[in-house]
Order: sequence, then structure tokens, then C-alpha cells
Amino acid sequence: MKKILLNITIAMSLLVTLSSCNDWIDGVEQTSTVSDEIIWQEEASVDLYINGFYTYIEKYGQFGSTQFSGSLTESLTETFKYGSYALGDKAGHPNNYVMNPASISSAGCRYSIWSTAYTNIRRINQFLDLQKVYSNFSDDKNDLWEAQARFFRAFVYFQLAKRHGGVILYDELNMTKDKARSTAAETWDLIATDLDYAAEKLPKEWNAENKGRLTKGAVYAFKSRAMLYAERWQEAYDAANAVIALNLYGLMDNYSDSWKGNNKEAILEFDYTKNGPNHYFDRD
Amino acid sequence: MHFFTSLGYLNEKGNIDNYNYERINIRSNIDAKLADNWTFTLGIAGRIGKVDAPRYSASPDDWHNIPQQIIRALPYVPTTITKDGRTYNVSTPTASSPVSPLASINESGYNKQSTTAIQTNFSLKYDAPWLEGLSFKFQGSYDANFNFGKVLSIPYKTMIANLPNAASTDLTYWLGNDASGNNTTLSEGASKNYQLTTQASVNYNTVIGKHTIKLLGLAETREYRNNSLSASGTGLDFIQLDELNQITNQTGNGQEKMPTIGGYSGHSRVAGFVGRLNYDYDNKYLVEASIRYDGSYLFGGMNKRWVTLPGLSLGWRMNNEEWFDLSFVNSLKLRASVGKTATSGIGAFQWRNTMSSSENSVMLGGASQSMVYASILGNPNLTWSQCMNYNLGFDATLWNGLLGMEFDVFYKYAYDILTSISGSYPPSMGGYYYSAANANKIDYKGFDLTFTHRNRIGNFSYGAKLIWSYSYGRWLKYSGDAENTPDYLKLTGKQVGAKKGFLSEGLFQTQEEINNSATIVGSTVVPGYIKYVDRNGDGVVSFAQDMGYVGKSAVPTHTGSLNLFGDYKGFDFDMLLSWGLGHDIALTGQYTAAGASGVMDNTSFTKMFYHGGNSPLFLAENSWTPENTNAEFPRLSVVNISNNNAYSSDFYYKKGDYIRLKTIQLGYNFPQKLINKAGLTALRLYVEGYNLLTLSAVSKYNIDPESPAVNNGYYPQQKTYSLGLKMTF
Repeated sequence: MKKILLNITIAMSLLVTLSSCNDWIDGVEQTSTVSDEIIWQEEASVDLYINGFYTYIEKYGQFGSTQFSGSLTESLTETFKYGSYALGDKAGHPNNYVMNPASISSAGCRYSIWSTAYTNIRRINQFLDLQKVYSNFSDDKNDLWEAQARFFRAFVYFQLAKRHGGVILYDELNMTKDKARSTAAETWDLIATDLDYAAEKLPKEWNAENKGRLTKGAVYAFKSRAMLYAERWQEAYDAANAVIALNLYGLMDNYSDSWKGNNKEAILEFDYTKNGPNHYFDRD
Repeated sequence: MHFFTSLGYLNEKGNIDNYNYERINIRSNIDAKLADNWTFTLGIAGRIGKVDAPRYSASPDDWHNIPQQIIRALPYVPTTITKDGRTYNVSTPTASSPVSPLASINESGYNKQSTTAIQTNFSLKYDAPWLEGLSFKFQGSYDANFNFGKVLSIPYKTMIANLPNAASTDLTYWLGNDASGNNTTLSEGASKNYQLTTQASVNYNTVIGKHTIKLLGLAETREYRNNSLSASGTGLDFIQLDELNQITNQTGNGQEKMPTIGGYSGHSRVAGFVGRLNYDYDNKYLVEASIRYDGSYLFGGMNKRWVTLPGLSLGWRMNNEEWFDLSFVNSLKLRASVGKTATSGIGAFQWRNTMSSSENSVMLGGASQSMVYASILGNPNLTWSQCMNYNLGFDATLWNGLLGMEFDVFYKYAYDILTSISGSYPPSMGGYYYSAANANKIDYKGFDLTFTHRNRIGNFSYGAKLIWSYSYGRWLKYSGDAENTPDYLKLTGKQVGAKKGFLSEGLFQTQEEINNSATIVGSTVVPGYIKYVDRNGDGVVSFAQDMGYVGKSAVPTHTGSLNLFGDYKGFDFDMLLSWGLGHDIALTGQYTAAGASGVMDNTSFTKMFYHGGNSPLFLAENSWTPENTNAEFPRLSVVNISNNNAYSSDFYYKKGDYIRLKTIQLGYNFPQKLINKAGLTALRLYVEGYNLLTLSAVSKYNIDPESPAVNNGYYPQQKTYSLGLKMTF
């Protein structure tokens, strides 16, 4: 009996040692990254998470780093020619397209955005999925976040759709290795649905602290453009009218003022500042 | 109580001027019997090391390293010229930066690194008086390292040569900046790290008749922390006042440049438990059974974090059997073992979803704001890389040492190997896959063999020791293999470290042959250029379809050494030969590091006047010409026609087999009665040579067979002769 008791004591103390050892290992500090659930403890952190999606405006914009890096869009037009002075690291691309046929191959071309677009779509879907799991904030807050995230999902799918037509559609985080491409119609449907949701939930205007975030007007204006590419004329017309009906936008009286930003001609602005974000339009 | 202390000092100068290494070390050990049954040991060691070097390094991985500059400098460009009464170093203008080894050694500034290391360990042992053979022991160690580095970059000018051309064979010069430009920068960095280990154990040893039993139970922990801090600034008014306090934030062009700072820290913890039983029956049958249980912070959850590692080994001393009557056999032991081991080489927190942040990413509400974004998709299934080890062998001593033998064959099956698996997913997955997983499988097989021979004839005693090892590693599963690539492009089934490249079919001889052959799209080919095999027969040579794993690993499969030694009346002799066989050296160089894997480099060993620099003779001597069609190397041209000859292919893989006379030593010990009068107990005079002779397949190219895989400038192995006198008082 004594022996059995001794054995039990040894077994128990081993278990205690083991689990306390495991707790000790769990005490390791995570120094260079944070765990994703930590984001959902503070409203401000979720806003920072959303901020990451706003960088896509710049990246996919006409002068953005994913596109042309200030090399202007000339290289994608009929004026595709030698001799223009184009800034940025992609400055030589027009020449390359003409002089070096190998720069377009089955593996891609210099303006391929396929891979980065899907990374961005994944990040947005990851946000939306984790929001359902972790967010304990009010519905109003959640709706605003979801609306912003879904606008950007439509924005990135638009970049893909205008280049490729129908693409592989993921609207949740259940990405699989061999999903087939959807039709162009299905792709435009997803874009329209996301934009409609965003337009419904987003405010006409934000307070000063959040100025620069997406508004109803920005979503409708973007939808109007997207639907032109989709050749859905009525939807494009309706969306454009919705922008006008907001009564917030109009032309500046003085043409030169329209270039200065923060005016009624600007529906969605991406601003730069010295500390960052920066641009390279005027670098030497 | 015993104690021991030692103090050492070392000062070493490098092959290249301004490289200095200085080290001071001190050590003290104390063994004490505190009371009956209690023993205590304490060891403290300290080391201060200082490395002084020019700002440009000698490491082959670093930009503009000095050995590379030496390789690229043209021999007909003078080292210095004098103009208007001032002497300047001269640079060779290469394709990128001008190179002047002397200026970069003497004028580029400095890189000073120092390390202070403290190592302590202690142990406390209790021998239980109430049970013979039972003891308890606790031991721990605490190590701390403090590193400090300071790098000053001084801009300097050299006379850059204008090379001769068709119009003129005269050398002219212009005064220009070094490749780093004209900014003075000063950087300082400090880091410290601590490691604390503890080990508690119980030992029980007993002998019952012919049974000897040893039992061990042990628990250990290891904790590591590090911190690092760095700062860098631009501009100094006085180069002599090289302090960060004196930074002017001005570039050489008079523009403002703000200092940068950085800092990070790290933390890790691992723990383990061990149980072991040793059993010996009559010194004939030996059994060792053990079990380890290890846990690491790198993996999450009880099931994945902890791994169980059993092991069993058996031994049989045949010569101790009563029936064993071979008198010339002094000892004969058979051995067999099987055991499991585990490793955990992987970045931290890959088992958890993590987020990273980036500052000043977007303007909202009129101010710059940060963003956070998903970085690692945590793989909760991550666990230890594991390996099953099987071993069979025997040890024998025959004829009182005239022949000694050790022989082992092994097989290792490594599975669940931790690896990055991003290559096996399409980009449309958007990075939504685990960046690391337990995916790969490798096996290794081989043998280790040792023969020894010792003998004495009168005053002459001599001996020899031959060691021969063979090991071949093979990918059983490589997760980076895409399903839709041909077999020759898959690593699965190939040797570990196999080189990826084209198959070559010699050199093109005629334009007609070129017209009828597949070539690389976009690469012009002329007679005398390398002809590659179109392996998939689609009419063009492409990287994606026609490259394959066609070269052997750069690591020898056979390695060995032969040691011969002897002494006669105070004279002694010792010689060590070592060799490596069964590997390939790629003259092109091929990067294998993560992120650069498969990148082919053009080294000066495959391209004439590579980078506008100097060239080895062999490329020119045996290059293709219309007259010399059976050439070893491709046709030369002043202007590069295309990169066709610069790709990795078996054309440039050379057998790496080598044998090298590693050391040879001759010594004389003076007779005792002579030196005792001088108050000495021993006096020895010796001469020693290191790396005196190398025979290899690449020696004809003047390439060191043990040079790094990418041979673009590296600190070479040295031939060393030394003469020594050793006195013992």
C-alpha cells in the first residue's frame, strides 16, 4: 500500500512538473510581432488594421507603386513609344515591351498584379473572418469596419476584373489550392454587392479626426466607374446619379484650385506628407 | 578543495593590413567538499575579444569586399601615382564600382567590434549516505555576452584609371569618389544576451553480483534573452572627433540627413526530461535504454510542443566470453543501436497568427497614421523535425595494437523536417498557407571506418591512423516540387545539395549547327558558345522546363584523413593528409541560401574580364577559336554578345576531388639531463607547416577545392610555416 501511494505521489508530482514546465514555456515574450487576437481588444487597433487597406488606393492608383511608380500611364496607351521621359523604376518598360518580346511571357508581364492582388484579398478576407470571431464592439462600429473592408475587396477585384475578366473568387477565408475561375458576370456581381453594402453603411462625411476615410460618395463614384467596365450602363448611371444626389461635390470655379486637394471636386483623396506616406513623382 | 586559474592573451594580425585580433581570457575553477556527502564546484571564465578591421570587410558575402577588389583590380594599373606632389591610390574602373584594394584598406575608415563574454557554472552534489550509489545533483550555468561595434565610413578619393582602348594605349586618370560616395557616416551598435541553464538529476549506480546497473533521471531548462540597440548618423566636422554626439546630419552634398536608430529583443525557453538505464552483465552484454521528453517555445499546445525520443543500444564484448579463444584478438565488441532525435530550427511564433505594423502609412484626419497587417498565418500543427537513427558497428584491437579497427554503418531517416512551403502554392492563394510546415523527408546512409596501427622497433616508435567516412543524403520528399514540373526538375529522389542547371552538349561549332538547335529565347548565340540540351523537346531552351538537378552537391560524400607519426630518440614527426571525394564545384558559383536559391552568378572564373576586372589565365588560354575548336572554354569577345554562357550548367561543374597535406611537423625534445641544469623540465624545438600541398581536379585553374560555393572574392586559406620553441619550467 505504501508503495502504491509512493508511486501515485511520484506520478502526480511528475504531472505537476510537466504542466508547470509548459506554463513556463508559454511565458516567452513575443517581441517583434503581436498575436492577431490582441488587435481586437482596442478600437484604435482595429482602425490601424483598416488603415492597411487604404494603402491600396495609392498602390493601384495611376501613380502607385504596384502600377507605375510614377512612370505615368503612357506605357499602357497607344503612345507606347520611345523617347518620353518617364520617372520611376519602371521608366524603361515601354521600351522593353517594344524591343524585348520576352518581357511578356506565360509567366507574367511587368504590370502583372495577380499575386499581390490575391495577397490583398486574402488580408481583407482574413480581417472579415476574424472580425466575426473576435469583435465585441457595437454593431455600428462593426458595420463601418466591414463596409470599409468590403469596399477595398471590391476595389482589388476591380483591378483584376478589368485586366482578366472573370477571376478566382474568394469571399471568405476558405481559400483552396485549385479553385476554378468564375465568369466575368459573377466577378462583377461580387464587386457590385460589396460596393452596395459599403454605400449603405458608410457615412456621407466623417468627423475631422477621420477625414480621408471612405464616404458614400466615394463608393458610389467608384461603383459608377466599375460598372462602366462591366458594361452595366444602368447601374453606372444610377451610381453616378447617387453621387450627384448627395449634393456635396461640384466643380471648382477656378481650375487651378481643383489641383490643390481638399476641395469639392475631390471625392476620395490619398494624401502624402513628409514623414510618410511618400511618393516619388518629383524625385531627382 | 582544489582550485585552478589561468590567464591568456592573444594578438593576431591578418593577411590584409589593418586587420587585428586581440583576446584576453581568464578562467577560475573551484572544487570543494562542503561537508560529508556534499560537493560543490564553481567555474568562472571571462573573455574580452577585439577585432579591428577596415570599413570594407573580407567576407565574400559583403558588398565591395577587399578580396573581391583584389581579384578585380587589373594588374597593369599601378597602385599609386603622384600628381602635383601628392600621392594617390589608383582604382581600376569595373562595371560598377571602381576598385582600389589599398585605398579601401587604408583610407576607408574602420570597423571595430568587441565582445565581452562571461561564463559561469556551478554544481552541487549530494551523495546519499542512506543508500550506497544514490546521488542527487543540481547544476546550472549563466552566460552573458556583451557586444559593441563601431563603424566609421570615411569618404575617400582615388585616381580612377581610364583604361586603354582602340584609340589610345596610354593610361589616364581622373580623381573620383569611392563607391560609397562622399558621405561620412558613423554607426554604433550594442547588444547583450544571456543564457541561463539548469539541470537537476538523480543517479543510482549499483553492482549486484555480475549485474551492473546505472539509473539516471534528469530535468533541464534553458532560457535565452537578447537585446540590441543601434544608431547611425551622417556628417562629422572633424574625422578625429568620431562620436555620435558630433554628428552634423549633413551629407557630403550639404543636404540634411536625419540619424537612424534601431532596437529589438528576443526571448526563448526550452525544457527537457531524460530517463536512462544502463545495464551491464559481466562486462559482456551491455544495454542502454533511454527516453527524452523535450519541449520548445517554438511549438504550441501540449501535443505539438513536446516530443518523446526513445533510444536503445546493445553491445556485446565477445572477447570476454569463456569460449572465445582467439589469442591475437585483444578486444572485440559488437554494437547496435536505434534511437530517435529531434531538432527545431525555425523562426519564433510561426504556430500563432501574427500581425506586423508599419508606421506613417496613410494620412487620415490630417495626420500620418500607422497600419497593422497580417504577417504570419500560424500553423498550429508545427512540431519538431524528427529523425530515426540506426547504427551497426564493431570495435576490435588485434595483435596488441598492431591493428585497431572501428567500423560503423548508419542509416538515418529524417522526417517531418521543418521547411518553408510557400513554393508549393499558387499565387491566387494570396499567401493563405502556412509559411512553414513539417513537410520534407530525407534519408542518409553511410559508414565510418577507422584503422589504427602502432608499433615500436627498438627506439623507433611509430603509428598510423586512417579515417574514412562516407555519407550520402537523398531527398525522399521535397515540398517545393511543383506537381506539373518534369521529374528532372524535382528534388525528390535527388541528392541533398544537388546543383540545378542545364545539361550541356559542348560548344557550337558552326552557324548551321546553331540554326538547327534549340537555344535560349532572347540570348544570341554564336559559334564557340555553349550548346544546351532541350530536355523537353519543345524547340527552345527555357529555365522552367530544361533545367534540372544535374550536378552533385558541393559537399564531399567521401571524406577522410591519414595521420602518420613516429618518434626516435627525442625526434618526432607528425603528418596529416586529408581528402574529400565525390563532389562537384561549380565555376559559375551557385547561391543556395534561402531567398537566393538557384541564382546563378557569373564569376570571374567563367567570364573573361568579368565585371570589367581581372581574369584568370585559363579562360583565355583554352578558349574557343575557329582554329581551336576542341576548346575547354567558350569563345571570348570584348563585347558581351549575350549571357548564354553565364548560366549554371554541367559545362562548368568540375570534379571537386582533392587531397591536401594539412599539417606536417618535425620536432626535437632535448634530453632531460641537459635541460635540468638550466632549470627546465622540458624543452622542445619544432617546425611546422600547414596546407603545404594540395592535389585536386581544379588546382590547374588555381582554385582552392575548399573555397566557398560562390567564389567571388573570399579570404583565402593560407599556407603557414612556423618555427616554435616550447619551454616548461
